[in-house]
Amino acid sequence: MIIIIIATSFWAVALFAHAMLQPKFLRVQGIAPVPRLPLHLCRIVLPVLAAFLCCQLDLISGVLVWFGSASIAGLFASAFLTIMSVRAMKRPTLTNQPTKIA
Amino acid sequence: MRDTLRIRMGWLHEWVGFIGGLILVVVFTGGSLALFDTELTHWMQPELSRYQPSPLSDDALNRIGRLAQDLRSQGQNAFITLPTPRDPMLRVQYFNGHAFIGTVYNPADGFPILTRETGGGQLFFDLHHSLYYGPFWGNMLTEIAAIGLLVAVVSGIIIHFRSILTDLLLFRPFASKTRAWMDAHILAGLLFLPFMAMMAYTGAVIHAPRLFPMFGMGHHGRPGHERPAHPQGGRAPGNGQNAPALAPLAPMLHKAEAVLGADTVGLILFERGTVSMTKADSASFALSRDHVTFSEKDGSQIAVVQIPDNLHRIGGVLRGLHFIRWASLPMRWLYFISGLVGSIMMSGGLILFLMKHRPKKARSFLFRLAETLTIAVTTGLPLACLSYLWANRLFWSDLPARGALEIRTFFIVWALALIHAALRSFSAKPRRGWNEQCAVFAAFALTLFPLDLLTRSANGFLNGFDVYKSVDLTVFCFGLAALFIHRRLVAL
Repeated sequence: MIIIIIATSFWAVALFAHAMLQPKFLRVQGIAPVPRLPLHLCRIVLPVLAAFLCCQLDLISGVLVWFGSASIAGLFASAFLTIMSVRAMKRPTLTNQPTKIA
Repeated sequence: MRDTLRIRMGWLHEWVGFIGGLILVVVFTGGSLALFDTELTHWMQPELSRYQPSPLSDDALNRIGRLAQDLRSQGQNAFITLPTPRDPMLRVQYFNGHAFIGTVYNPADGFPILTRETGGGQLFFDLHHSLYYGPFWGNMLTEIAAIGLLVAVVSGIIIHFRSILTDLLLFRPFASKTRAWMDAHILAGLLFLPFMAMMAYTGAVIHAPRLFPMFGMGHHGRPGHERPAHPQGGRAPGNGQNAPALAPLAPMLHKAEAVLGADTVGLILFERGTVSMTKADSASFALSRDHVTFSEKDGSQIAVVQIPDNLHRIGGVLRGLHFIRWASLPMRWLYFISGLVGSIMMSGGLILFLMKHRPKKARSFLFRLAETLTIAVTTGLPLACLSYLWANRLFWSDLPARGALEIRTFFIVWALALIHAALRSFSAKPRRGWNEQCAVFAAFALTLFPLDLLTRSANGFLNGFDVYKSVDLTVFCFGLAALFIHRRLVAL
């Protein structure tokens, strides 16, 4: 059980990093580009770590848990990104329109 | 050229997805629930909540062996299932054409436990593999739907190939309604692609012989799957009134365990003067049905039957992957969530189909029929499943043929949901069809827990987290989700 939870967490962070590397996501989030190297590292290393953890189970269970935890982690990461983007949409943005001064 | 291919694949995905999706939503929902068929059967026999698991005794097994022999001499094709961690009871069962039903016995002393008659979670298993439509046409339909799913998966990948990695987690609920649904459909489809491809492939391969004219009567190795001529107690072929006395089963079980491994035997089958001690499906990853046969008369060992070759072993592996009876509880939950997301993804696809065609064809008969069927499978089916659980607790326990009545309730509620969907779809406000069914589902799901408390012994209620509370809590969560959807639909 604990392996599934940790593998899911690793995958969630890795998928979040993957999303943050996509220009489209940054546009939707309305945030400036972030340093890419740590995100690349997360994207590559964490799934490998999750695979290493899953190897502690027997082979078939390990493979199934690795894929299954990736799917469920994707839901979590997507939910988090969606909340972030909804908040970004509600945030007041700078405009070039003149404002009335009292 | 590539765009032409994508457009053509779009057409294929749309139509194969819609027609196959109507069946596949039922198959995936049934399959997800069937992952917990044993637990649901346990929930549907609340009398068992008073019994603590106890080890199987030799006396109990010998006693049950004699009872099974009596039943067989009366013409029932009975067999014995031994206690497992998932179902710690001893059962003498027979196949009634749709489910394995029978009597429950205490594994400690072999005395019967008075439980209500129910099809239990096996209804969902039947719904999953044959739509409750029999082993030929039902299997054939689900088999074709599984191939349709493979076609839809491949065409979907081709359509979204350019943006699979870049848009992997993209979901924009604030965009237009169609865009938001499309995002959700693609998101679920991509994230659970390995699961869906694996289930579609293994499901198609398991029943592949059905697609060819030389299909046999075998039913993926399950015992007693041949339909008896008289399901409710008709004479089983080859069993006479003067059946020989059965040798004690306990020594045979010990010998079989010495061959197959300790605690691996799960089924005891009887056939033509022999007793087969068969390996439980949960004993190993590859579903093999290895067994040791003994003479019914004197208990001497006749043969050890194990998977003969690699071809059969591959078949066992595919079955093991699809049925996962070997898996631990967390793994089963992984499958359950994946199956439900698959079902939601396909429901989303059906809704997208309606959204696309509504502007031009909203008033046509075929569109309204399509909407009726979509409502019936997306909200009507969960409602019918819930009514099955309610019927189990509301029908009194000694009602004759109550198992059949429960199943009839399931189909009547589903038919009513279909009629309601038709009435709403053919009216001016089709959205009310979805909305009202969600509201009814939420009401009954949120009140299942009180119903459970009122209709079973509450002794030891605070002792731990058992199967009853798990089912109640899961259904409660579904109820909350339905209530949320209902509120959103009201707000729109």
